[in-house]
Amino acid sequence: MRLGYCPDTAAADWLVRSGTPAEQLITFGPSGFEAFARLRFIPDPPGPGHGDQGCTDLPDDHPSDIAQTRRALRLLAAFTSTPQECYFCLWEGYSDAPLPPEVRQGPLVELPHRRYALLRGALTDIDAWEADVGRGQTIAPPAFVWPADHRWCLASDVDPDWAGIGAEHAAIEALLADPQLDVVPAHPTGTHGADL
Amino acid sequence: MIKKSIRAAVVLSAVLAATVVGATPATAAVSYQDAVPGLAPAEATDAVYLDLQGNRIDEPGSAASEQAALGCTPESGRDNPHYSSGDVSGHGWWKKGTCTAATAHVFNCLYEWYTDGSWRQKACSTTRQLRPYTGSGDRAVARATCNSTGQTISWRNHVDVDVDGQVDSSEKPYNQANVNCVVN
Repeated sequence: MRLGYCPDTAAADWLVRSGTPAEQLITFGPSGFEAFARLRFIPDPPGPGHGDQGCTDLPDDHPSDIAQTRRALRLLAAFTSTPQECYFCLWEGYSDAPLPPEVRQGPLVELPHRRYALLRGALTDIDAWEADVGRGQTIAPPAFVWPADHRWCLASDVDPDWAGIGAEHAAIEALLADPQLDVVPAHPTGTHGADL
Repeated sequence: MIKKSIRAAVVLSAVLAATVVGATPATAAVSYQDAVPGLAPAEATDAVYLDLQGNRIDEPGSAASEQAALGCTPESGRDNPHYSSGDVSGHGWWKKGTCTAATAHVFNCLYEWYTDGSWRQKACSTTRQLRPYTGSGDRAVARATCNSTGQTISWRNHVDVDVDGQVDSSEKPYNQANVNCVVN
C-alpha cells in the first residue's frame, strides 16, 4: 500500500476549522482561494428536473470519475511545492471502499454531515487509489485531495456529478485549458456552485 | 436537554398507548400510528419493512439465497444514506462480480426507522439501465426532502440489481447510517 492511513487527523484541521459553510466546504473545500472551478464528470443536466434520473447518455468510452480526477491532479501538481506530501480523504459511506475496522474506530475527519478517513502520500499515489482502498476496482475519487502547502484543494462529494476545485488563477486556467477535461469556472457560494 | 425530554415523552406516551393497529409488527410496543422516526437500536431484531402506504413488505432481498445458486452474483454498490441540501439521499450502482452482462437494471430505496421497529420506505429511485460503475453517470439515486434536521434518525439504503439477460442472485443489500433528517 502506497497511501497510508493517518492515525492523527490534525492535517485536516484547516478544513475542520475553516469556517466555510458546510455545503460549500464538502463540495469545494475551504473558501479563500483566488479562483474556483468545477470538473464535470458528466455533462450538467439540461435543466431543472433532470438532475437525478439519468437523462445523460454517455458513450462507452467516457472516462471514469477517478480517471478524470487523476488527470486534473496531474495538472495541479505543477502548482504546489509539496507534491510529495499530500492528503486524501476517503468518505466512510461507500460500500465498495469500506474503511478498515481499525480505521473506522477513528479518529476520523469530521465535517458537517460527513466523516472521512485521512490518508497521506505523494500526489502520484493517486495512481494507486483503486488498488489501495478499492480492492482494485473502479471506485469514487477521494472526497478531498490537497497538498501540505494548501495551495489548492480538490473536493469530490458523494452527491454532485462533479468535483469542486479551489486554487490560484493560474492553476484554474491550466485546468480550463485542458481539452480532455470538462472544467468550468465556478463560484462556490452559488447554488451547488453556480458557474461564472 | 429539552429536546431530549420532549422526545422521551413522545416515545413514552407512544409505548403507553400501545394500540396495535394497522401494520404494527407483532413484537412492537408502539403502534403504527403512534410511532415516530428515531434511532434504531444497535441490537438487531427481525426487521419489518413498510411501503409508502404503510403496508408490510418482504425485507428487500430476502429471497436472494434461493436464487444465488442458479446464476451469477453481481456486486451491488450503494452508499450510506446522507444529508445534502435539505435532502436525504442514497445511490445505487453495480459491478459485474461473477456476471458477464454489459448492463443491469438498478434501483434503490430509502427506509426510515420508526419507534414501532419498522423501516418505512420514503423514496425510491427510478429504475435505470446501467453499465458497471465507472462514476457519477452510472448510479441510481433515491432522494427525499427532510421535514426537519434537528434530530438524528436511522436510515437504510437498499439497492436492487437485476442483471440483464442473466439469472442473478437478486440480493438487495443495504447501507445503514444515522442522518440528521426527519421525513414525516
